[in-house]
Amino acid sequence: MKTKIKLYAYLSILALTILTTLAFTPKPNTFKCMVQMINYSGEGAYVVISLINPEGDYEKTLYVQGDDDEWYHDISEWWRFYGKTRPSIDAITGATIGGGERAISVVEIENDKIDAGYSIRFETAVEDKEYHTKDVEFPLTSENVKLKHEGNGYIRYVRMIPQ
Amino acid sequence: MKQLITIALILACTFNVFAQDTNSLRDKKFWVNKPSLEKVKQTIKEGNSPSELTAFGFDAVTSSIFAKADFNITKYLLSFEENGVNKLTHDGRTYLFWAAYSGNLELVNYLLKNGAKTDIIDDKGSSPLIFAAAAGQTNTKIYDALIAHGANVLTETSKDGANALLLLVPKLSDFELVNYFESKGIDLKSKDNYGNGVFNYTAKSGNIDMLKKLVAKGIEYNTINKNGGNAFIFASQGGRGHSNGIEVYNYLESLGIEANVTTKKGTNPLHNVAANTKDIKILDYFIKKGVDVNKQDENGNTPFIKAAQSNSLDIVKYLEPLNKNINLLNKKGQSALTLAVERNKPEVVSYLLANKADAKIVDKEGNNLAYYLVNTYSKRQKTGFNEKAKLLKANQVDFTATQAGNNTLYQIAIEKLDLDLLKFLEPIKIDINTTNKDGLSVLHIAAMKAKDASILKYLIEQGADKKALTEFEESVFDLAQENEILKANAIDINFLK
Repeated sequence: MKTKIKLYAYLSILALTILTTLAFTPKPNTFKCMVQMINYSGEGAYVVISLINPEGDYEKTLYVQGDDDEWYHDISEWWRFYGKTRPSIDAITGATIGGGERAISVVEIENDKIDAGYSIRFETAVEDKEYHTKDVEFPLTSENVKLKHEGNGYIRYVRMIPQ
Repeated sequence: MKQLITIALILACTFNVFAQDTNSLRDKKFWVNKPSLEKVKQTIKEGNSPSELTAFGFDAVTSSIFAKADFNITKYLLSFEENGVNKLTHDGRTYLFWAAYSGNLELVNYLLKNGAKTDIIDDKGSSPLIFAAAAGQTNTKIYDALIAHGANVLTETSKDGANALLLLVPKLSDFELVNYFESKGIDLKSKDNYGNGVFNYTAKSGNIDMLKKLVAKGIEYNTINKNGGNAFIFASQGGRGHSNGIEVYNYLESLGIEANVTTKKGTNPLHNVAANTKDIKILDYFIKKGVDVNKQDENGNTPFIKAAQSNSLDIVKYLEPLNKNINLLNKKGQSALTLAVERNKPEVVSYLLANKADAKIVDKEGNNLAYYLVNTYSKRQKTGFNEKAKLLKANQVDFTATQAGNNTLYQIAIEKLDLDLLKFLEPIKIDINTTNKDGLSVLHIAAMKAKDASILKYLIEQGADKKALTEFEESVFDLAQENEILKANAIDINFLK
């Protein structure tokens, strides 16, 4: 009998712990993210979307457009972060994005990264051409994630839509 | 301001594909006659751009370098503002790469004096010094000049970590340059990131004389690298447009190196030679050594699949009886036939079909053979395209099927911006207003990519709905309005309203 009570006590503590963990783990927000390219000529662009921490360093790779890793060293700033350990990235698609085209992807950003000094960076590289570390970069504020952001390189603009 | 830059960018590089033959300054024939500086100036006046890049990233300056034009001519072409010393050309290389590669010392010095950077890394991961070494540059004064302007022979390597000496030795016939680089501190025994030394690099080029000299010098030759490969793997790779002859393999064997080798990635020598050799004797050599003809490498490709992808019908025919399953799939769900449709000639496609290759195959992403055919369409290979199309149709390949990403062949074809290709689809009767997973119809994509009105008008004639909105509520007109090329070419798009 005693052991049974003990067991119940353990179980309820366990349940409580699970519940609190679930409640306080930041849930990821998903965003539909449209990257629209200008009508440049040349090969398709590699686009890497990264989460940048408040110190300005790479924190996480959110999305990679272009799956031929032979070219990743071309995206040199990101490669310096990613290339060392090369963790597997869930969100990689095969196709690069050509001039005038767009790519629509879904990115996940944890709630506690919004309005917390983090930024999102869109980096672009095209064979034979200039590489743009910050084609688009903006602070992750709850306002910003609903807006359209102009690019400086191959990107005409980026549009994010919370899902 | 941004718009101005964009338009300038477009003006500078639009229509390269078509301009390729019209710009005399990038035409080999023009340079063959050793034109004078006056002639070059005149040609520019006639409207040939001194700076515009071809689709492959070459311009008048690079053409003058390759043609070994008079220094004053190249210097004159460099005087155009758009041709800055650090302008990026083919494969992300500056003029310094090409000058060093061609051994043009005067130009190398001129570029360096005018601020050319020695630490630019090209698309393949090489610096100018590494690029020159890999090309076999033997003029030490070129290296001296680069080093004097900051190049570092000890730290600069290829993407695989090979230093200048590992890359250069395969092209040499004596040790003069070796002594030069050794005096700069490079060790002839150095290795790349994968543990390959100079012997493996030289085996790749098939330079037997140099291999013998390296052995005589006491260089290690019977080594296994970090991937489990040896000199046979390297020799079987060959080089660009070159595959090694039987004498190279016989020599390696005479040194006691094992021919039947498989790397940790599952690659054996047959994977390589099946793709590049034209000599059946070489296939035979490896087969007799017991190398596995049916081995799948890390991508799931077998020697037979490699041959079907890029080699001649003779080689494909030779391997076929040894190949267990003509419909074997690689990791992307592609068969020998898939890759033949994508890259090889109609006769290989025809042969595979006649040998029971499955024409109804769909890859892991959801694309069938019609996708592979249309996706690799090229204006220059129309005959091959039409022959392959006929073969696929005769074998009931479904040209109306929905491909990966919910694309129809229209969405695949529009990427080429080629009216003939769209017309090829006409009799197939695909619903032209189908939208893909991004909510885009073929007309939406055409509005985003078109360079003039012809394709847009054609699609509307074929029944494409100009009122359809994207999932971002954009109309066809909205998309065309944002298209910088249509804007730059002042194309009237009011018919889209």
